[in-house]
Amino acid sequence: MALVWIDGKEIVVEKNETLLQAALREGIYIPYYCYHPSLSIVGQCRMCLVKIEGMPKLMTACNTYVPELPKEKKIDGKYDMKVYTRTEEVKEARRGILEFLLLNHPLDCPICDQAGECQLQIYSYEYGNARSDFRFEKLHFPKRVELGEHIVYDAERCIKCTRCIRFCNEITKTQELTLIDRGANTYVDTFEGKKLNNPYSVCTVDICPVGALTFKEFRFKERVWFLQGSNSVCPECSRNCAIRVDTYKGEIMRIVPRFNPEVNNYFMCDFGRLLSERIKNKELRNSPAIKENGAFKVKSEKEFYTTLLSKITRKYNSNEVSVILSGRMTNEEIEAYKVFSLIVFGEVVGEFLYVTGDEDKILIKKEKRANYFGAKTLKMKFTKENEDVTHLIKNKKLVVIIRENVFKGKKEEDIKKNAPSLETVVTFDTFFTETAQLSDFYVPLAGWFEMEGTVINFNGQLQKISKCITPPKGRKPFYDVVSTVLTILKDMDTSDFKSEKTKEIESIKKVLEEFKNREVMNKGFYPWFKEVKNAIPEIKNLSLKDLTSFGIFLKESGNG
Amino acid sequence: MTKSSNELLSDREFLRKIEKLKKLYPEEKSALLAMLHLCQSEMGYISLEIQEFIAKELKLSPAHIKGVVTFYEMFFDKPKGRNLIQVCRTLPCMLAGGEILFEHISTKLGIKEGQTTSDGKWTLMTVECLACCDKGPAIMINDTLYTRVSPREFDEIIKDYR
Amino acid sequence: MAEVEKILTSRIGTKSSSDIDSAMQNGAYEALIKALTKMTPEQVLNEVKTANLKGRGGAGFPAGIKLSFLPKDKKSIKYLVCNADESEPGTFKDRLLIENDPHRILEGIIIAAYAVNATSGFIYIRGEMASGAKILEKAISQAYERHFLGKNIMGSGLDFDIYLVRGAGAYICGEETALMNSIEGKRGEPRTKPPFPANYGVYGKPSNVNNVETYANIPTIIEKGGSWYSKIGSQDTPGTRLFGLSGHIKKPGIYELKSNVTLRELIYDFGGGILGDKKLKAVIPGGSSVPVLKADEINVTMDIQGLKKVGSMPGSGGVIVLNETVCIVKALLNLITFYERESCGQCTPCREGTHFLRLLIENIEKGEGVEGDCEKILSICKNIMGRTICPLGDAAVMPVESFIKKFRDEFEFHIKEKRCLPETFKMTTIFSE
Repeated sequence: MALVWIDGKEIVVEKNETLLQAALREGIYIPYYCYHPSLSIVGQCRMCLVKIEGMPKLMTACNTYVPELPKEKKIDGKYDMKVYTRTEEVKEARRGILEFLLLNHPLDCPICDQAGECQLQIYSYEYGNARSDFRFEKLHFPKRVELGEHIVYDAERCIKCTRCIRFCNEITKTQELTLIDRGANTYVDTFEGKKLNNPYSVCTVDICPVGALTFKEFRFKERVWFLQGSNSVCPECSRNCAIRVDTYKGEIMRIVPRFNPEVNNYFMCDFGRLLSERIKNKELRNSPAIKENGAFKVKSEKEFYTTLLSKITRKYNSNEVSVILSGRMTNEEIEAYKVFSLIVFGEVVGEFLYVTGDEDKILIKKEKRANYFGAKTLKMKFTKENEDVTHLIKNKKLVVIIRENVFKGKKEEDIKKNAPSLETVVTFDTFFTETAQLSDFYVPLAGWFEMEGTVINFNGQLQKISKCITPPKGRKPFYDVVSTVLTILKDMDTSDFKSEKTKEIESIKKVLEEFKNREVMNKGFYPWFKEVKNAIPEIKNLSLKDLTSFGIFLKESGNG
Repeated sequence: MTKSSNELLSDREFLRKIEKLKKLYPEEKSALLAMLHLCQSEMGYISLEIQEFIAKELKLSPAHIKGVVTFYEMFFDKPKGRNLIQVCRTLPCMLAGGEILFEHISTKLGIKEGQTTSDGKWTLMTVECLACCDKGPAIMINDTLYTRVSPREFDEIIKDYR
Repeated sequence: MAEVEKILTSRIGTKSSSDIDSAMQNGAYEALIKALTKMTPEQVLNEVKTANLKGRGGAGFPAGIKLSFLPKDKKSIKYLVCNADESEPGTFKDRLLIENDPHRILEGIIIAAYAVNATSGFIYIRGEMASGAKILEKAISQAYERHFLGKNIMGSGLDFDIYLVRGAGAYICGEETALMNSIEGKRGEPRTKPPFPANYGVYGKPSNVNNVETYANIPTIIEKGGSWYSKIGSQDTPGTRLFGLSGHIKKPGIYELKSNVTLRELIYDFGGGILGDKKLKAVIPGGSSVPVLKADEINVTMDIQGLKKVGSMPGSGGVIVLNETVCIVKALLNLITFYERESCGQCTPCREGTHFLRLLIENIEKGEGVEGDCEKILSICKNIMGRTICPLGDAAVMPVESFIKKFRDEFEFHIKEKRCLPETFKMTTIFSE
């Protein structure tokens, strides 16, 4: 541990830490291109040059470690190093490096996709020259090269920082990229026929400080300064990578990883990122509907739920009912479901589909639902691993499905064959899926990016998702559906249920009574978040403010 | 000298040499340059198929091989002429008359730097300092060094090449 | 005239000097036997330190001190590397040693290995030196046959192997960390330091890199003692050096001399004066990377102190002589083209800066320079100097800065008149007469 004087400020530099890392940690900004906290240090860009007292030359902060000096050698009696980052000499060095970087770099910023988030632009604005003395023809390099299925490379914009190459060598270890040629002719390339198609390929775009690497699905879609970013997490596995969802006029333009040292560091997989593309053009409905004579009829909320509730509430024995739940439900939706189940079935029934798939040693986890561990923490039941749905609905009369497309690829006959006695299928989901289409009752739900909620990852990290885009009024989070149900039930004449079992009517009334004075009747995320807090002792006193953008670690949750 | 990739890959003698090179150094990967030299001497250049083959042999990525092949000036990833003439262009040879010699060679063969004669016999390149500055102008034809080469001597020298 | 001492070239010129039998008849491996049988490793290292042997590759760092940076323990793997990637323009001394007395180099390496308990050695030879590689290969196998290499060398307990690696055309691989990357089968890009080679070298193991000529001095140091050696010639660069004379000189070649020889003696007494009996215009005293000198700056000794007086350095000992018929702009264009072509391209100032410099100098040479170009060139130099990963950036800048500063008038003449000085219209060459 060394004490460093830097521009008049005292900072501590740990033994295994570089000057640049310590300065950044302490909020002292030193510009850099090739350095990346997750990658090896190469000292190539030379942007982070600083003046160190006693050194004849400027030094790169990125690979300067600070040894502790013996007491008698300390500078000013206490410092192990004195560093200046804003002297004229340092500023001139930065200007020099920027001049070099821009020599062969096209100055067509207005039509560059990186404009607005380009480190060349940013540093040029801060440290650069206003004019160029380069009156020669710029070197020409390959442009619009498809380095991978999702990656487009412009070698003219490349500043050869090698972050992308190091990412593929050190993080994914797939080694698709290399520098080729040398000197001023150097650029990045793949081997013929071995494109950059690893499961994390688009991360190279994230870490490219300039417009050299662009994401094919996003490039030239929208100027970045028009985008609105919202924090969320990726729903595609139990890692729950922290993400930022960039939207424009209510449409998701791209998903980018968001730094979370507890979860995903700086990265995310391409599969998760491409969710933004997979949800495009999917069929959506905006109101609940009931199938009548083979066709869905849209109903008002009141009519819909009155009909639904009178049809299913306390109608079946528990062995006649199958409720299929999903790890795509947030904690709040799960808590809301518990209330729904108490009313309709008199107890908490239902099983979460335990869907698994491949995992790797980087980020991708085995459980393919975001909130598998949330459901576990909330003590829900699970099916067997990747259990066949036909098994789950066998001989059932009522099937309720929330956020799972269990009948994907199935026809009505297949279902009838397994459950000849099946009377009613109710589906709650965001998209109008095959399952929804085979249902008798369909309730459209708000999508992952259209609601607030909390989820717990494989490691026990609880994070919040937010409403990145606003869904139409008719599509709600499941917790809002339950709030609606509660409100409708309150006004309903229980005789509507046409049940002869007065005891059960009493029990429903009891549930209603219990919730009548709770805030959940008013809908919205927050009251249901409170229910979640009540259900998990570890976060009983957690306030939303305590949930930083990293979330919070729960000891009792996750794989331990 | 100019085997095809397939010929080379089915050449037992070549494969035996590759195996031998693999064991030559404390770590296998150190054999890379030696392997590339070998392939180049067999083929005249280092084809993509051969680059992939070497990558597999040394458990390196093909991209790594490509990066190395393109970095070193002695390696060619595209076919060149049967004979490579490299004329030293660095200062001591220039002072000795290297430019006069280069001009002569270029005119004589009818090709410019980097070009190959239409009969595929000669490729002409410049090279940086060959470390025989006292005996300039120096040229290399394939692996053979010639020093104090006058234009007339050059004309004699090339008679030995086919 | 400085007295001629033959240390390095004593066997050169004898019959089949590169053969082990012939070399041994003339004393080869006697120093090794002495070291292995009569001295401890510490004593050997101390002799090298006492000798004050300076690295002959260009930087002139004390070789004994550099060797002692290696970890002292006997267990860990340590590599010695011999840098035979000679490719600095104007430098051709190592070729002489490699081709004519390879056993002197091997002997030096093996003695150094004994001094620091190194496990293996590498000789990295320039790819273009095909014949040199063959000679070294043969010499190494002969040394194995005579048990100067291999397990338990001469019964001393020292196990030491030497591997020969051929480069493939990259000046930058003469930089020690680029050389190590190249040995590892990588692009020859220098590594950022720290970590330093003494801790993290070839394959990440402690390593030491020294030049061919440096190693070749070690047998004599062991034979005659470090203190004897340290008293030869100049105090700051004791021993003899192989000075290479090239360019416009009547008797070009390698001269083994004490480094307190003056540049004037070197050119006129040994080199026989200027080619074409023209006036001396400029001389680059230590390989292309050191600052150039004007004709009136040659009354200095060829050691560190002497050349420092005129703002230059001994470098690699390669002396390039330019007579008055040389267009100085063209000469500089030739040099900067070399550095541009040999820049590895990984760090910004060198990759872009050498390119920019070449364009500007080329433009002046073509008669398209504009006022202010010299200033621009100097400012680019400032932005490269000391700001690159490895010394290639500095090496490119030093000739450029010194050429511009010392021959500013000629550059300005080119810019203004769009042509060469009249006396440089027809440059002297070996074909001139």
